[in-house]
Amino acid sequence: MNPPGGPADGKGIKMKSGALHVQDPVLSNDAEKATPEPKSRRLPDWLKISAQFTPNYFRLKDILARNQLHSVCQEASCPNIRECFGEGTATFMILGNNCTRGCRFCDVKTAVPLGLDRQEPERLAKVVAELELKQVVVTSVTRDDLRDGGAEIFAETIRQLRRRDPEVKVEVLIPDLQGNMTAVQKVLEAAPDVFAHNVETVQRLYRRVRPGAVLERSLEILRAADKFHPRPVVKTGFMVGLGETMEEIVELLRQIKETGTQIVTVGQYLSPSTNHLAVQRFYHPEEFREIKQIGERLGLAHVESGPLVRSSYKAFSQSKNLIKSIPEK
Amino acid sequence: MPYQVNVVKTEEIASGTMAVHLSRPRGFEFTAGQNIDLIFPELINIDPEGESRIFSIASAPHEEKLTLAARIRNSPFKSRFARLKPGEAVIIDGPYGEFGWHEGISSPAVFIAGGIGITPILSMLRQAVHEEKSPSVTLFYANRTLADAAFFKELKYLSLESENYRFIPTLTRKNGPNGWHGETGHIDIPMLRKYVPDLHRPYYYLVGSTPMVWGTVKLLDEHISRDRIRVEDFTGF
Repeated sequence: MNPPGGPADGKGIKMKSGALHVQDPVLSNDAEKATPEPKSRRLPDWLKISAQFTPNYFRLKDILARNQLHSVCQEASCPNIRECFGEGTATFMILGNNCTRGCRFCDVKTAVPLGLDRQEPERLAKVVAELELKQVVVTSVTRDDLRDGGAEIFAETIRQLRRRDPEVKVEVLIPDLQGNMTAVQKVLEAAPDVFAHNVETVQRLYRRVRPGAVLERSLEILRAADKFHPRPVVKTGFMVGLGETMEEIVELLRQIKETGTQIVTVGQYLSPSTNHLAVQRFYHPEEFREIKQIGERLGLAHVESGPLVRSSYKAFSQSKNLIKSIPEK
Repeated sequence: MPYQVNVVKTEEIASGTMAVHLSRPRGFEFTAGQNIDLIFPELINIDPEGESRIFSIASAPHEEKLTLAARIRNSPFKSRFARLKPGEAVIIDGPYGEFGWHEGISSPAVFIAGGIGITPILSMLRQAVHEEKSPSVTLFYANRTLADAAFFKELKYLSLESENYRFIPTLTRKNGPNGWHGETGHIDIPMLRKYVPDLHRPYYYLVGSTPMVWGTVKLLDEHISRDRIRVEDFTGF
């Protein structure tokens, strides 16, 4: 079933959900005038969030600030932050909060990183122990200024977490490390339970959405993780609503499947500001269910697909059947 | 935000390098250093890398036109760009990007550009010269050969017009053309020091490929704090 105006097949939605609202009468007929904001940019009901700020939210925010740690929840303006912080969980963002890439979908600041904080892994492990977390997700900004892209800090973070709690389950969500496969191996050798790297969008939109990144490079990273022994659970994710077609989504799922990846997350792109790419279309929850079914028919072990799904949102509920003996938080 | 605009003029500005001047839509505001997407919807499913590319705006915010420039390569997108004709309608989307002047800058500025990475710097420079209130600026501009150097005449002319601006072109293919009295070789600390004796004072603006910009940040690390550096990595543009 499709929502009104939604896709019937890949070809059918090309113009509606294409890179631009090219059928807009102002855009097509009246040169040099601004295109009005598409009406569809108003959030549909299924994207409205009712979670409240709770004491836990402020407590976690305070702990992160006191320990000079960052969370991607805050830096990337995640819509689920109140819920996750309220439950005492966060996705830690290491290697600072200045990113060297200018991805057009992302709210993390693009700037020259101010250095390398070698004490960060230890501080992070200390906070995880303080919060008594049994499952931790660690991601980072992209660090093109570092030869290994920050791989050593990722590996050290995993080691520090395990030093304090050998049973802790760790998911890492790494940037592309510029395709430096030696650096990728360094992270894998630290043996994360879940190794994630997001492909973010379909091939055609890479230059526009993720300048400086290459889809094939990202797929190669996932292949390397799948071949590594001991093999972690391998995971990736992408957004919809940036102008891709259903055909392109299916093709991307196929490409992901071929890498050996087990988990895929698919969520609705939400534009953080007017300085970011506009949302081209809001997918209906039913379409997310269709994407999940297509992915699982292609043989992917788990496809988490929904409007508010984010790579790290309830991460361990996605992988619990694939990791041996995940303890409850 | 997407706009439909018209091509006003096209010109070859260096060997295999085209500039396209576009009409500026009413209400289109940007800051010097920002970029836009140029979109050819007809190339969907034709160019494997998609129907759009990112271009830094080479014109300044006070100017009437939007100027884009690119090296012409053998891709469907770049071939289409090279064939643009005055009067044609094209689609742009933007502006995007955070590259630009540091806020409230009063210290000297050093620009370091490689190749077509000159475009956002040209916008900032034109703005600075227009507003006559800029700090002193030194531009280091690296190209393989003089023929590759986009906007060379304008950059040189501006340096003759403005006391505050010094232009240091360098050719990385060691032998410059006959009569070349400028620098040769890659931009490095000795070259910077020759023209900027106190490397600690200026703010730095670096534009070029990933190895060029991050390699230069590494060179500067020993001399200045990183919060005085802004970069625009053109890889993927």
